[in-house]
Amino acid sequence: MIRSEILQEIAPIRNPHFVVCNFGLPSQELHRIDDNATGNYKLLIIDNGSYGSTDDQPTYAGQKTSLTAVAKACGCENVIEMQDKDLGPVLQVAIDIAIDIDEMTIIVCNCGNGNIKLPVITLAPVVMRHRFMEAVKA
Amino acid sequence: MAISKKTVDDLIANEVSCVTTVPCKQLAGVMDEVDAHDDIFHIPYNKEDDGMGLCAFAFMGGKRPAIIMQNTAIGVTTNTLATLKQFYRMPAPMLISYRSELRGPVACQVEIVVHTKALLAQLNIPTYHFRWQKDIEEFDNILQSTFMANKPIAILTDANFWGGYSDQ
Repeated sequence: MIRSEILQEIAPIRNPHFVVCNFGLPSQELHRIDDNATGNYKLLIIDNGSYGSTDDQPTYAGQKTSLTAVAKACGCENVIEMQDKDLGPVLQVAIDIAIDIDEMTIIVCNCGNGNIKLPVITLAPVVMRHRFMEAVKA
Repeated sequence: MAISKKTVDDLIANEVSCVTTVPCKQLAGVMDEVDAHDDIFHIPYNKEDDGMGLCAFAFMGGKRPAIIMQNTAIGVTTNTLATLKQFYRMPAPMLISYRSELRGPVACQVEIVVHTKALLAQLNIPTYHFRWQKDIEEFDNILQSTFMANKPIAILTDANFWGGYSDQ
């Protein structure tokens, strides 16, 4: 489980240049980032329009809600929106811009609905946690 | 208030450096102490289960966290406690105002009071109840325990402990 509050919290601690978030309902998260985010907080939202915990039921936010507009309304002045087909090259430019400006930046990438099938992770939870903690160490 | 300062001193002594809080009048004093302390990264929040998430990932980022919240939100935190804190075995000292247990004026909160300890017991979360101000003496040991065991621990603090509602 990767949630944006992970990254919001780790950003000021570990000072990464960029963080990634694949999140089903990012609109729920956006409202609270303006007050607490730091300049190195870069959030990539890959909006797949479905919520994994509900077996990929479509989200209401995936119908008409503009996450870009929500992010701006929540106080983020730097929002970049793109389509999944452009993700590779555009993302590199977006990352460069995001790193260049020491301000909170949100990148919204819209893609097709749903998730691909993946096998169940059989690692013990504490092992997964340990690996994550080691990976984000400065 | 001396008891708020003692609370924060114990947090500092146990290397707690990231605290998330959800507003509560009963806990306002200790929240002010947290906010004023240079060694604590204070993140005010508006939803307790998300605050739990922040604590979890502060821990994963290398900090010792704590959350200060009301017992009225115990119900909404159960999923996060079970599937995040307990599943990944993470410490989480929860300093909780035990609203309307004794000396409380809000009748509807009593209905949460009657479920609070039962919910925590069902989650197998060690729970302590601070009723008297001298009970704060145990706070340091409780914090040591949660970080030793890497498990959530609840400290219920009632209005009597904080000095009541109208007279605090």
